[in-house]
Parts: sequence; structure tokens; C-alpha cells
Amino acid sequence: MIDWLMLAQAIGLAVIGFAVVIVGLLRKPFNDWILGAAALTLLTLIVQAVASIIAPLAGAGPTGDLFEYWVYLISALLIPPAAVMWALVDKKNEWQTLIVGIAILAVAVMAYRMHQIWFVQVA
Amino acid sequence: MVRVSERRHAGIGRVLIAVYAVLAIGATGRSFVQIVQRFDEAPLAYTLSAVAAVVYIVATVALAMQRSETARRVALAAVCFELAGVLVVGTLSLVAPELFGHPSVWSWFGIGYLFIPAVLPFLGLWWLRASRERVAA
Repeated sequence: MIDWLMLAQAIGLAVIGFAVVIVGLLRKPFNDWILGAAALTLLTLIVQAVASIIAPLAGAGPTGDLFEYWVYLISALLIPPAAVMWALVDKKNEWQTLIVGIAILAVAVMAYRMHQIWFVQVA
Repeated sequence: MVRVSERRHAGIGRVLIAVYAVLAIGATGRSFVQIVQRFDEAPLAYTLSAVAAVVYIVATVALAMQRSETARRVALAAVCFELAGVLVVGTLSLVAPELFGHPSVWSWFGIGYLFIPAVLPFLGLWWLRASRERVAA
């Protein structure tokens, strides 16, 4: 795993999350841009999941607890699709954008925690 | 009492449900790891961690099922329990760290979750009260 890339992921997602929250607070309805932001969030998590499977096999395991790490990662993977599905089911409601923003922010926090587990924490 | 339009009220409700859902996921994941891996380190704190997770799940579902009177009551009970939980466990984690000084949603008033667990029950209570007034009106 790459230290700076994981940190960049957490920071980038936080920036995207804040942006979507602001757009949501302005009561803009859910659109393709918001869908794109959520898709990008999910994509970074999928890349991260693949890297997390390969890295320990290549002898670069986490400093913290791998089990805890995976609980975080799997939970994080569930959040963007859930938020988007809810938004698509109820497209008329302009509050859905704010919900997607909160979901991305939550993933950003979890990405930061995962970075800590992998690189900082000594179990 | 802040008066908001029907539409906005419903919207805020959705946002509240989403935040509760995220906390439910976070608390469930964390307590699962704690109980599987190191339950004997702090059985009391980790049991409470699991209880907190269940309460968040109940609150999420009950808030989502607002239209039924029973669900509203369940939501109110869950939100009150949460408020008590975050205040009692938050205080105990400072006063008796050997028993409660372990990370959970409620320790140190929810510091690990940006203090959202301390703020959320108040929002939940306000929202439930506002919906009741709406039904009554």
C-alpha cells in the first residue's frame, strides 16, 4: 500500500464530500455530477480493496489490525451504493444530494481511519 | 420551536435517517471487531458498544417508519436511550477510564465520531417533536 496515496484518497474524498454537501444545502437536485462523485468514491474504494488484497501477499501488511481494516473497508464499500440507490428511488427529493454528500464524507473519515490502521497504528 | 415547511421537515428527516444509518454501520462494525477480538479486555465497555450499535439500528429503522404511531414511540425511546447513553458513558469514560476508557461511539461524548453522537439525539428529539405537532395540527 502507498502511504501518500491513501492519505490523498481520504483528503480528496473529504473535499468532494464537502462540495457535494454544499451543493446539497443549496437544494440542487440529484444529477449526473453527484452520481459521478459517488461513483468516483466507490471506484477509489474498489482500487483500495484490490491493493489491500495484493499488498499483504507481497509482504507489505498493515501495522495495525487487518481484520479491523477489512470491517472498515467493507462497511465503506456499502455506503456510496446505498446513498445513490436511495437517491435514485426518490429522485424528486432535492435532499438526496445532501445525503450523498454526507455519505461521501463518512467514507472520507473511514478512509482516514483505514490509513491510520495500515500505516500509523501499532497493534 | 423552529417552524419549517412540510417539505423541508421531511427532507431534514431523511438527512437525519442517513446520519443515523452511517452511525449504525460505524458502531456495528466497531463493536463487532471489539467483541470478536478483545472482549475480555473490557467486557462492560464492549457490551455497551454493541448495545449502542443496536440502538442506532433501531433508531434508524424507527425514524424511517415515521408514519406509524408505534414506530414514533420506538424512535423516541431509542433517541432518549441514546441521549442518556452518550451522557452517562461519556461521563464515566472520564471518571472511570479503567472500566469505560475504551473506544466506543459514546466514550468521551463521542469524540471518535466528531461528537456527532452527542448532537444527534437533540436533533432527533427536536424532529420527533416537530412531527408530532404536525400530526396534532
